[in-house]
Amino acid sequence: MASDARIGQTPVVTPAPRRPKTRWGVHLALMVVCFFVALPLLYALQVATLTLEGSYLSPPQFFPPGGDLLNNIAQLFERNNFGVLFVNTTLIASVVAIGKTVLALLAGLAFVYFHFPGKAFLFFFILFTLLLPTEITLLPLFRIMSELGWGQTAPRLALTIPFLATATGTFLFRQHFTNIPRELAEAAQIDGATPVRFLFAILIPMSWNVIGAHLLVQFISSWNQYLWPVLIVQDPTQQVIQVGVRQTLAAGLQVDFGLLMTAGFLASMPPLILFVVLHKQFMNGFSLTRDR
Amino acid sequence: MSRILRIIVLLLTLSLFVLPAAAQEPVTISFVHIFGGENDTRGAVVQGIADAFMAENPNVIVEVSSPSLDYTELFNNSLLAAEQGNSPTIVQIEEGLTQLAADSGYFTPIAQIASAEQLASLDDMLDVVVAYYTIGGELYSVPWNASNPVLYYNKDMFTAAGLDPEVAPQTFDDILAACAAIDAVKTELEITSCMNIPMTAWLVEQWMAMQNAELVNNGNGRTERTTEVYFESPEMVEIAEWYALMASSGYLTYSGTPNDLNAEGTTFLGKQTAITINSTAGLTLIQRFSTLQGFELGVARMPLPDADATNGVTMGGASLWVSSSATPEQAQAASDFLFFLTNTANDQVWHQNSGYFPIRASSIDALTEAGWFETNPNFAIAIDQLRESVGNIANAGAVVGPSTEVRGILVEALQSIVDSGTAPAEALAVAKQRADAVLADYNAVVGG
Amino acid sequence: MDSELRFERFWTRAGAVIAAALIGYFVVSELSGLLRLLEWLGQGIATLPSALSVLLAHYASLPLSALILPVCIGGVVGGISTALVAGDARHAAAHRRNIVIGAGMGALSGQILTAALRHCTYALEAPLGETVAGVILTSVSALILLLPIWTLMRRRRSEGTSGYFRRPLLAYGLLAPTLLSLGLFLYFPAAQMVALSLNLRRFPLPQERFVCLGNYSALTVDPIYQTSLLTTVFITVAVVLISLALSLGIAVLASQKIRYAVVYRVILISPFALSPIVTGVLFLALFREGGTGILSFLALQIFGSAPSWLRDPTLARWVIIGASVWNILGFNILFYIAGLQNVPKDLLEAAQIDGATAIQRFARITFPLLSPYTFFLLITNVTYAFYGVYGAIDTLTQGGPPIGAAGQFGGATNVLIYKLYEDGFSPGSPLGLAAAQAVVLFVVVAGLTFLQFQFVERRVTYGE
Repeated sequence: MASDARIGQTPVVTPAPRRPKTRWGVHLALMVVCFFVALPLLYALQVATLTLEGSYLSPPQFFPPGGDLLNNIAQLFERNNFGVLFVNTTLIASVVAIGKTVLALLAGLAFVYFHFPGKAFLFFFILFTLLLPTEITLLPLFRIMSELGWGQTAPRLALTIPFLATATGTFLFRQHFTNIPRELAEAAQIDGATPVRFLFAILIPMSWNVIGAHLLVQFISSWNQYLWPVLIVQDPTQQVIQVGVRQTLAAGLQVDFGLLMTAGFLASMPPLILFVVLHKQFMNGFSLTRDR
Repeated sequence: MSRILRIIVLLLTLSLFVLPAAAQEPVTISFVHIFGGENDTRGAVVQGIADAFMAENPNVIVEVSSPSLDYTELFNNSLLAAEQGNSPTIVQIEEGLTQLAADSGYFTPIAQIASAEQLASLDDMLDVVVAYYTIGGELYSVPWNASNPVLYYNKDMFTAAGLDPEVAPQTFDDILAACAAIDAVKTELEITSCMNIPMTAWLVEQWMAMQNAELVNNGNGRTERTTEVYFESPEMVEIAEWYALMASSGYLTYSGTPNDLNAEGTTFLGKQTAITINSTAGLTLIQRFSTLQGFELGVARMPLPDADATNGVTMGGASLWVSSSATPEQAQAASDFLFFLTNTANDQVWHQNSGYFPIRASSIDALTEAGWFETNPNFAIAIDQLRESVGNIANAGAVVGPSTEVRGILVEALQSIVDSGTAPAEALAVAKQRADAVLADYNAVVGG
Repeated sequence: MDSELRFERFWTRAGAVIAAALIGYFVVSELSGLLRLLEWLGQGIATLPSALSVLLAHYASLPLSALILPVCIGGVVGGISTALVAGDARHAAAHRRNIVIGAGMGALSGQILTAALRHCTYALEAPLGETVAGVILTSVSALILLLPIWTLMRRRRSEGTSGYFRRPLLAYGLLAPTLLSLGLFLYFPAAQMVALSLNLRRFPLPQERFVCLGNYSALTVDPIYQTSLLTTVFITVAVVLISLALSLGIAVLASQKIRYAVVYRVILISPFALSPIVTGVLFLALFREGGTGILSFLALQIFGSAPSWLRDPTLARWVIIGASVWNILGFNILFYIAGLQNVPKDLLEAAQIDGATAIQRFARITFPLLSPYTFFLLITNVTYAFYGVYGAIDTLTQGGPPIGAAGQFGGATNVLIYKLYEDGFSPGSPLGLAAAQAVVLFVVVAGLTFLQFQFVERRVTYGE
């Protein structure tokens, strides 16, 4: 098998002469591109430092930044409940991410290391749901939540339980497990290990990159939810952060753009930070070539 | 267990059911509204009134909350909850959704709940206000927060353009003349356009009411369910042609987003325009910001399409509906609370602490006597224009089931006239065709 | 190296403990709600008998003509397809038996969708279009039960058993949470959505009226829907092409071996972590009209007049396209960088030695090797362009400036998913029509995905 060949092979490094070129052209191009990509964020950061009146000045104030950023942040936490929203969203996004990862691990294990009737059909059954995003099923799902009474009494359940299964995750872990040499499973069988033990002792330690990447993606995806929470959650203290941002836009006679930009920024901090921290796992976890 | 013990336990258990029933149980009602925003003092006012009511009626508990800041969201959520039998007892519903609320069957008309005394007190309320929420001769909900559009203008800019700042334009033609003068000095004034107005059907409904013209058939939808819109009536054409003329002369602009009263207010306060029309609900805020921005604010009545269109204005705002899933005790308590909320004393408090005007003649009289309108002349303007509106079918306003859609179609016609320069006749013809189709579809569902 | 391993092991262990604690806390604090779920499931199962009797009553009242036709269609489709797919001509008797089973199952399975439609397309007064659609639906429905039957019919290949655990029950157990969750919270509501699309309804009123495929035929003649379809196609094509091309170019730049490459990459990729709402909000600040928005202000200064970004139909579309491309760019760049790093350096060096130019090296080697990534990104970008643009549109244009006199063609940015929402969740809006649109949208995206798999995946070269 190709992977056999790779395992035995040591990478051959052609000793190309390394001339230490500082490639200014590339640096310059990248800086320009980065500037344009970051422009909306930079501008938003600037506006976030302005007061309500300041954000309506014409000509707009580009530079220097105003002094109102801390004030805006304080206002969001004190009056717009952002502290509570952050806690809620963190809890919910974490539960969804963890739940999805666990379920996907189990499903991947089942598909790769077991034979059972209807395997192909069930795999198709799961994969087919990639084409059924939540947007399609919102209203009937709302009905179900109303019958369960979760909208009123258990909004956190309404935001998590319907989303614990994942076709993306199942596909991802199945691919990853397929790329792991089958000999490991054979050895585990010979040793008399149960499937669960095989999962915990061997598969998971080999999969941290993929697990990390999957957790990150699902966390961010759940963190960015808007349509479903705004529909189902009645109690403002149980709401999530994106709804909080949108409501900053809707309140009052005049939109406080400084406040709004600050809200957008704060709401984006956790995904961004998490991404920066886990970016290596992320990049490694999603590699698609078969021989990895 | 021994037999005696079992009997004792049984008796004790039974007594648990019997005893509490003997005591007086408090009636709990819930009330949802949209004034719960962080910067919104109106929520506190409501809570204060609710507390006063509970003090006077110790066996009633009123749970006030604001689960949403948006009329549409509140409506959707309340009705979806009602489908599950969980509706709040009292729901604040926007004026445009009246027919929909009535058709849903989830609300009991207040006329069937209120006591004779309470119903008699309705005579004190302004005609136009009560007429709006009356369908087929029956009052469905209790009017509460009422607003009107008024004309706001920048007195400093008027002076700079050579106009008398104390004379506000009062008709369509007046505005055209004023804008001609202002447009001439546009660059000095540093404005983008003479006037901006919210692109909303609400203003059009006002101008139709002023001309004593119905917007839709079957008595504006009040005698029978409406089946046809009157978008091609001469009165509507006059309004559309004014929009066309203002836009083609470069006098008219808007934020780009329809129905965005906030953005239009912002544009005016940002000194981008000299004249605007906006709701009295924002009067306090606009007054404050105009001072901050350093210009003198002028407030005047809504301009008339022409000098003899004096039929008066119609309503804006919302009313309070009682859920049909409430028990008789709850319904009675709700009715008591609603009439307490809108009694003369509280009506005055509500007006003074929000931008909404008082809906009772007795409140207006009391406020006048106390000199309130002398210290706050801008409020008087809104009230006067409403008081002088005699209640008739035209200014009762239109009730339409799919009102969001139909109003949206009208707004799109206006946008097409203003943005793309479509001929008014064509735009209105297309709008009528679309709106009639929507009405037919709606009526097919809801039945005759 | 060892300390690095220990560091990693510590963090993974700590992470696992935190995760377990979090889940534990969550389950305990929401226990009553979870029990309610079980209760509801029980109630649902308890209603099955009455649902069954409703079904039987329906069949009892059905005219024979409306029953015979779908049964025959289902049988024919089932028999033919089984012969083609699961047949093994060598074993004639088994083959015939399979065909008979296939025909029977097809006839039965065809009733699934047909009964859901209450056999309305087979009524004598149904319009021709609906009847044709009904025939197609019955045929498709016939395949629903046949698919799993075929997997059972297939002669079991002698698959290796070493390396596979012999506990099929455990496998089902491992899959059960996923299957239950998907069935209950995705397939079941989707089925309800289909049922909803067969009725006329006005949100949120309870009244409804059954109209068979009336909503679907209304869509075919609706100029606003047609325009919405065209707009969606335009925006999707623009977003996908621009973001793929742009991200490939940027990824090529960012995957060069230079100092601080990581910093550049993180900056370039980060916008993907922002939600569509936040993206919309950011672009709203950029494109505000009047002198307060930065772009309008610059345009005023430089050109003397600022275009009305959000009020002009063409410009509004491009603003949405720009916002969407910006949002998804980071995601694409990420995958392309990963892909570019997997291109074997020796291949490129060999080509360079052979005299190939940079462009030739890119076109002949790099791009084909990137094709799995391109394919994957194509699918995800298309899905994003269909569904994900909602957030930006809701914040920026709300369906866009109206086009046509009095907006008879709808809004310039009124894409299918936005129109679906407008028709679903505005008070008084036609809910049944929205449900029909959702079904059509699903079919369109499913069809596109299927086509991509069929035609594009063939061209994908998997690196070895």
